[in-house]
Amino acid sequence: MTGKAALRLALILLILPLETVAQTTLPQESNWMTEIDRLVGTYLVAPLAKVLFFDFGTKQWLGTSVPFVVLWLLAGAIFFTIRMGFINIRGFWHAICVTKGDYDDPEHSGEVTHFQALASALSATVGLGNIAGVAIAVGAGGPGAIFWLIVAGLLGMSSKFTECSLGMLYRKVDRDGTVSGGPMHYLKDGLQELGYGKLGAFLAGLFATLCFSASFGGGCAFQVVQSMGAISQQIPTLKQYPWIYGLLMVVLVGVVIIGGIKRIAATAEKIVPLMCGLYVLVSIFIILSNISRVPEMIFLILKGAFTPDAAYGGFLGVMVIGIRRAVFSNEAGIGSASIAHSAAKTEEPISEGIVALLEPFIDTVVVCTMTGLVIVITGVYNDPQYADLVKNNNGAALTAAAFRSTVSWFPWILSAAVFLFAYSTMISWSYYGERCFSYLFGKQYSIVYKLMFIVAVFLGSIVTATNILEFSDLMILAMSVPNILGLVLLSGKVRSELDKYWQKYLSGALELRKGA
Amino acid sequence: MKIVVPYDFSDISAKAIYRARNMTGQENIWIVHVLEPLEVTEPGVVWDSKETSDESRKEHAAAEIKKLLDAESLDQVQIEIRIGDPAKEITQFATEIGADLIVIASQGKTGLERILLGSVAESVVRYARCSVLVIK
Repeated sequence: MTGKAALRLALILLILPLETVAQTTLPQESNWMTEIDRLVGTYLVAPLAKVLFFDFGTKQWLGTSVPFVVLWLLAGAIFFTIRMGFINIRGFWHAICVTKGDYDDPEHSGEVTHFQALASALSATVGLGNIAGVAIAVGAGGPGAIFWLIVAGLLGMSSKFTECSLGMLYRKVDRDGTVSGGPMHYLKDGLQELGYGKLGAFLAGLFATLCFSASFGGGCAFQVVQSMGAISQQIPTLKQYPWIYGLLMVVLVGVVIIGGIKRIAATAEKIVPLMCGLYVLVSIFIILSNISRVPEMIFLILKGAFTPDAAYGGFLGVMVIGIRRAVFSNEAGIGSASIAHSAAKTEEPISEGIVALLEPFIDTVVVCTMTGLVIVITGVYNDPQYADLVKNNNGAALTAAAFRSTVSWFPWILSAAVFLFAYSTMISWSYYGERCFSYLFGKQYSIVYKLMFIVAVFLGSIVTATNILEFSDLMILAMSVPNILGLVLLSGKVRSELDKYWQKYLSGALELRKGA
Repeated sequence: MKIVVPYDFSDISAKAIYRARNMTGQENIWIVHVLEPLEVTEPGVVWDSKETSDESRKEHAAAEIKKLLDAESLDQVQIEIRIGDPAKEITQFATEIGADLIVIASQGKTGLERILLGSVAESVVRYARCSVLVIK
């Protein structure tokens, strides 16, 4: 069996359960939705979880389960931070200058400016992970989870730098002058250069398979179910007829990815940075209106980070929750963002890696932290009134409750933000998924992918939040297995390129744009 | 005799150009290359970049083909770049210029892909208004 055939087989095995779900129809039964949910849980989530969340028996000897994949991501982020000489700190100011356009040159190859590439990548990362995911983290791990979330965000900047630099180093310029890049290219071509051709091809195929599968979960169904959770707090009819919301999203996503209507996708992506700013402002307002509780909040977060209540799974339990939710939101070490960043216009691959390190900072250290602080300062996370939302992982609904507790109409702003973030994340992730699917099967089959994506949008409205969360986590975190392995092997190359670039930067040899 | 030769940078499609060259003068050969439309979700399209515009893509592709043709002293051959469905664009172009013949290479797909999609050559044979020569 050739590599490609093996990949296809693996893929079919992976998708089969999803198709079974789609084909199962139980007409006239009011519980057909619960039946679909059960099938997803039993045949898709449970078997995958066994492998990825394998904890080496840590539950017995440490008292808390430390899943393999979380350890892997953390070790990777620490390794890249050290290997790249704390680029997350020393590159920060330079990153802002490059993003501002100080070094832009329209003659360089590529498609978009540094700022536009960052905005596109952010539209995929800033999603319900920032609003719902963080609320879930605080609900399950207490205030201390915020501390670990921030730590994971800061370290993740180095992982993101490494993967996006590689995305640029190995991007391809097509014959029509357009560019394409991403982990599937640097894993394949980069490892080939090192003499690990077969391993590279395998990892690239594995990455692409996981990435398009993940696009159905975290990039799609998770966004639908969580945004619906928040919006149905304002429009209660949706609780009874969730499929109405599903159909609305199906139409809105369908007209863009299948109908090819450019303006809607473009508008949604361009508003994301503005909406991000508005979200942060509203959050700051909520914190300021509870200013007297700020010292207590800081105390709770720090105490919770190191000596949490046993109910939250102890020190390690809280750390695991914080890291999982941070990575789910900022995708550092996952590889996906390098697909978007590879479109940047530059002759200096490292400069785009530098820009990319701002992404976990904005996404996690700023936006996620805001959500966390709002949840803690308003006290909704341990208010018995909202215990159900916590138990059912309805994170976005919990954030909505926190917003409402300050100003009654704030949840409407949140609903608008949630809807936009969900939508733009789905659009951006459908692009990542389509790239990966085309890499495996050829461009002519991309319509098959798009149809599956639409099915996932609809399933998102009827499968329970918990099952979707599990599936989404599994697929997104799994992407880090091939990606980080490749990043570690290629880290020597990135480091030497970084040193050359940094030398140029320090000596003033990098060409500045006129007037900058 | 006006001949249209679809070209996709593959060796076999280059063979089709030589076959056409043996049948008519260079100036009567039109090479057509069809680009796939870009996804509307691609960053360059979202941000309306110059590089993802139809004109820029056509210009780049034409320049690439011109370079190859010049190297083979086929500098009088004409180049047409289209964007869309390959078979449809090829046959439409042939009709537009009133071509007498299309010389197209068959990619020889096998198995599932052949059953599901057939080849561009097959569709061209089916939809062309002029004669079609399929090179194997």
